[in-house]
Amino acid sequence: MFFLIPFLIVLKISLADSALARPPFTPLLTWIDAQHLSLTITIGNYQYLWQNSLYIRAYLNSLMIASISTVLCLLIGYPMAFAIARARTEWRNIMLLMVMLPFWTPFLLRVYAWTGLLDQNGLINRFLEWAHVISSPLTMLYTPFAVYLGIIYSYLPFMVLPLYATLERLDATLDDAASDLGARPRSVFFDITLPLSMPGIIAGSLLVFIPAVGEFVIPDLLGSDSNVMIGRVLYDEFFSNRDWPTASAVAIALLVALVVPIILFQYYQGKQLESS
Amino acid sequence: MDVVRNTADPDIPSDQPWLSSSETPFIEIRNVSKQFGSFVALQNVNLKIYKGELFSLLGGSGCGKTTLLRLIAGFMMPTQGSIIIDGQDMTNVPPHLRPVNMMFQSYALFPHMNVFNNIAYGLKKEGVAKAEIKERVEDALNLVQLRPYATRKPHQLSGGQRQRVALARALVKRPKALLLDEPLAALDKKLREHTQYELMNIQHKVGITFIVVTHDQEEAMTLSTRIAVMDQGQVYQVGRPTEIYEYPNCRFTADFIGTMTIFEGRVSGFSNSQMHVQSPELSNELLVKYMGAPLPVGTSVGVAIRPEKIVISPQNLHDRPNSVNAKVRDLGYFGGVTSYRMVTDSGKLISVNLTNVGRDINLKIDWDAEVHLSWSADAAILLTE
Repeated sequence: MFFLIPFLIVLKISLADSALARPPFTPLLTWIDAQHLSLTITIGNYQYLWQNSLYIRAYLNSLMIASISTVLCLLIGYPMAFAIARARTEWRNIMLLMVMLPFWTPFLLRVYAWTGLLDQNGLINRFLEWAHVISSPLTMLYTPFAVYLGIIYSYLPFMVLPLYATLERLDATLDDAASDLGARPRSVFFDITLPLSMPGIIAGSLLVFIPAVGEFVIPDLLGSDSNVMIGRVLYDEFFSNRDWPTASAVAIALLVALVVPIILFQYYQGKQLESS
Repeated sequence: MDVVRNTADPDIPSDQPWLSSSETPFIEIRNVSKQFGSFVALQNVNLKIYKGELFSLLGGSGCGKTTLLRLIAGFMMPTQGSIIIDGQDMTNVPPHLRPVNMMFQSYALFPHMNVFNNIAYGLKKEGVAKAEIKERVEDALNLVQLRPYATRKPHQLSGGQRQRVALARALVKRPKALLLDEPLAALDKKLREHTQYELMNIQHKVGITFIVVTHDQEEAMTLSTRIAVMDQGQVYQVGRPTEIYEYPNCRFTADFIGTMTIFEGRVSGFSNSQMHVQSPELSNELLVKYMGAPLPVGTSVGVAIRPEKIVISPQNLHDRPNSVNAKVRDLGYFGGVTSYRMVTDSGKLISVNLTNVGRDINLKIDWDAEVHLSWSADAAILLTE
């Protein structure tokens, strides 16, 4: 119920028409006379989303950025999680604490701090110039690069933690058994460790991918206006345009796009439970 | 082959190659020590294991038996010493290049692969051709009688079936030696006994040298050609099961294997190949058959007697050597035998076993009965260490 009620309200708004009123949309149910109640469902908002290339491009852009970020998070996060899981017990907690440390400062502040680092006069450019690696400052802020960097930086712990939990639980004697049967260390990893850590890979990827699709703060602070993500569109519709029905339709469409991976995830988890 | 061996050394039976000095061991552990930080897990261990043996490493938990097995498998390197397998120094060779395979205590079957793929894994890594893999895996499945289970996943099998998959997976590689870490520990008692004999049959069929780690002395006794008794990182005695049981060479082995009553005392003389021992725990003199050079008078020794070698006599033997009067303190009825704990006047506890020959509902010797115990000089063992 806690999740369902706000969702139903948003769904209701997405089926209404915008109006110059407060709240700025038409009611779904109106009394015509004492005996007749009229239900008006507007699907125009969804048609509008479909017909307007701005929205489709924003969706595709969001999905692409989220997908690439997820893959990069996985490539960076897997070795980290692996190293933590194989580290000695006394080191393990320190390493886990370091992964979680950024959570102790507010998210907005952390993302904002990157603008100071990536700026033309930022720390990174100044350092590179000082080290004579570059002669003129690089443009990093307000580029897709900065958006990827921000997303990976922010969501990496969500990848590392479930991966660590899976890898840590793996039976080390399986590795011994594989090498005993003639597998080189590389084969042990690809034949045994990697397939058995699949549940962690899926959990981590979804935890990164789903919030990254709807991300608003990072592209707003670090990205440019040329490749808009869906979160930005949503924000503009809601607050600049005050077109609540369209904004709600954007949100519902996003939800539907995300529900598919969630259902896949649930299905996979169910299969995992069944087999163990 | 036998003729050649017999001309070389006519007194040595072909099933006991370790007695021959000309026979080269198949696996040799030379001065091996292993330390974990300041903890000494193995201390200067020397072992020679011969081809076709079923050799057991027997000891309590933490005695170093599993460490030794893992050193032979190559999962760790010894701090000192060397390991030679079939004439090649394998001390620093990684596990995937060693010609030995291990069966793990937990079986360590790959949960994401079915039985066939589990067994085939080692052959795939070896680069064996597909058709041959299929043939060899099927042979292995037949050997352990799991043919109908090829497509099952490990979690769909019973404990005994998993154990057999683990065995097939290790054997299919045709290793020079198979290392088994507590192979039967995870099975229940009935299945364990059955599997014991099955394991011996399979070893006989394939003719591979088996090295078994176990804490279960009955298991070691039944399975092994020879046993190494270990404690605190050291090997105390190596010998055939009968040797270990009847001729323990030290107090540890005597006490660890089976039940033993040990009288502590000092040598008081020697006559007719018998050592005379006086013990404060016994009023009568102790006589022990002893074939070695006589020990000097006053040497502190232990005289050990097995419970089944003590005779319960009806009449009082007074001050005959190797006899004592005692009273029943505890008894345990096991069906075939009744096991007694007798207490002497000096307070020494003596274990005595009595085979229940007749079919009496009431025990002939019951709680608090007064009995006279005696044993022969060649039933007792003299322990100097």
